[in-house]
Amino acid sequence: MIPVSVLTGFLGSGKTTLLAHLLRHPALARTAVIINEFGEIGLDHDLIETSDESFVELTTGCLCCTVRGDLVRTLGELLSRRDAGSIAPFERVVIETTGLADPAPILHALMTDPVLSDRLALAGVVTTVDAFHAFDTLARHPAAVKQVAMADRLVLTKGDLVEGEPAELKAELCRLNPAAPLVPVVHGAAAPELILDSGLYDAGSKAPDVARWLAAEAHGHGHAAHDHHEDIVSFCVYREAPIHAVALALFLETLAEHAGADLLRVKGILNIVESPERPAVIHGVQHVFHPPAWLDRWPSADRRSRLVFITRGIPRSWIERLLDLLEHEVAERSGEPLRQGEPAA
Amino acid sequence: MAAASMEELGALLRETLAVWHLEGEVRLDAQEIEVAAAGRRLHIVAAPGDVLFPWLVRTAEKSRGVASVAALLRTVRNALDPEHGGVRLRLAPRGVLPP
Repeated sequence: MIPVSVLTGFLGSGKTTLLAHLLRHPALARTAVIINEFGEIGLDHDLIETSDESFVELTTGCLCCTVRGDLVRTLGELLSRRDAGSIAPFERVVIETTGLADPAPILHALMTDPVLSDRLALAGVVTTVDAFHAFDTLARHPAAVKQVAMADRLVLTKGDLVEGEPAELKAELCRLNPAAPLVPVVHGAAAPELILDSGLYDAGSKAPDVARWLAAEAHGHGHAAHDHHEDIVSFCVYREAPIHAVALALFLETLAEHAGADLLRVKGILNIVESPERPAVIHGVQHVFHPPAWLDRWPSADRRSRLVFITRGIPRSWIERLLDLLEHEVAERSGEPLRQGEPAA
Repeated sequence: MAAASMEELGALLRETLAVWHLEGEVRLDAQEIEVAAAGRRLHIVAAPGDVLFPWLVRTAEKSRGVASVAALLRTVRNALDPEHGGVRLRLAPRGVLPP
């Protein structure tokens, strides 16, 4: 599987500067880059030095809406050229979105296209945040809030323009997305491993990343982090008892059907009745879910099911109640004695 | 264990209205749940013991049996907000069981 990173961030937040620095790193020498510019004249391309043809610029519109088909086609063509040996065998893909992009449709395309999902794995969403302008941007532009909420990594740029520690901004970003580590970067200089390796599905990084985003429980345990931006809330849901696979399927289906538009990100590690030794890792963006990835073993002694939600106004209590009712219903119908789920208080 | 109790369903439906972005109310008594929203009203009652499904959803036009919590939510939403269109889960095309 070839990892694909999505680099997003509001206009002027330093995406291209970051990308330019990252691509100079030897570890990223074999990286294919797709840049989407909003407008007819692409400038970002000229700002990034690349040495081969594994560089595609989409200028037909905003990647998140009008050129989603172009993205799928472009990635398909890149893979074909790689297979044919007409370009260097790239080992990673980075997609830089426009500053106005909603990342969700891009993730949907990567997760659901049958050809792409066979060969490409979403390695994470990286969102740049301009430390100088972020408060104003987040207050005015819902797209910027969504970019932050959906991130696996938040890269804080332009910190050198701010006097002192931007503690208030960091707290705000943590409230919006407690699961995403915040990486301060000056003039784009960052170690690639801190920025890009945030995926769940790469065999080498599964366990560490699971541990990392589950660290969000430090913020979400027992109470929801709540922000005024579009009513975005983040929280963790726990269950002590294993969950039936059928209940999980019903749960995801019901979430998607009734609350998909407001379900910004869901990540979870689950103790499944049918697979007690191998936990399932799930990842969803709105109504689209990646099939469970099955870890070889539990990453720690903690075998509770833990789900991290970032939502727009969906109450945690509704999610917990729904999961409880569905699990009880399935347990009852399978003729098993009821195992009471005990969400940690 | 029996099917979910009326109290549990009532509590779920009360919050579900907000998730659907519908203003309305859910009233509960020993016999039924009444849901009113978007200018419509329906009642959920326990089905007679001789049928396979646990609940009936009654509107002014018809009465319909529902067999599960997921079906109940879908039926109630369709009755209250028939224009919502619905969004179905999409799973990326890979196996869903442990290898």
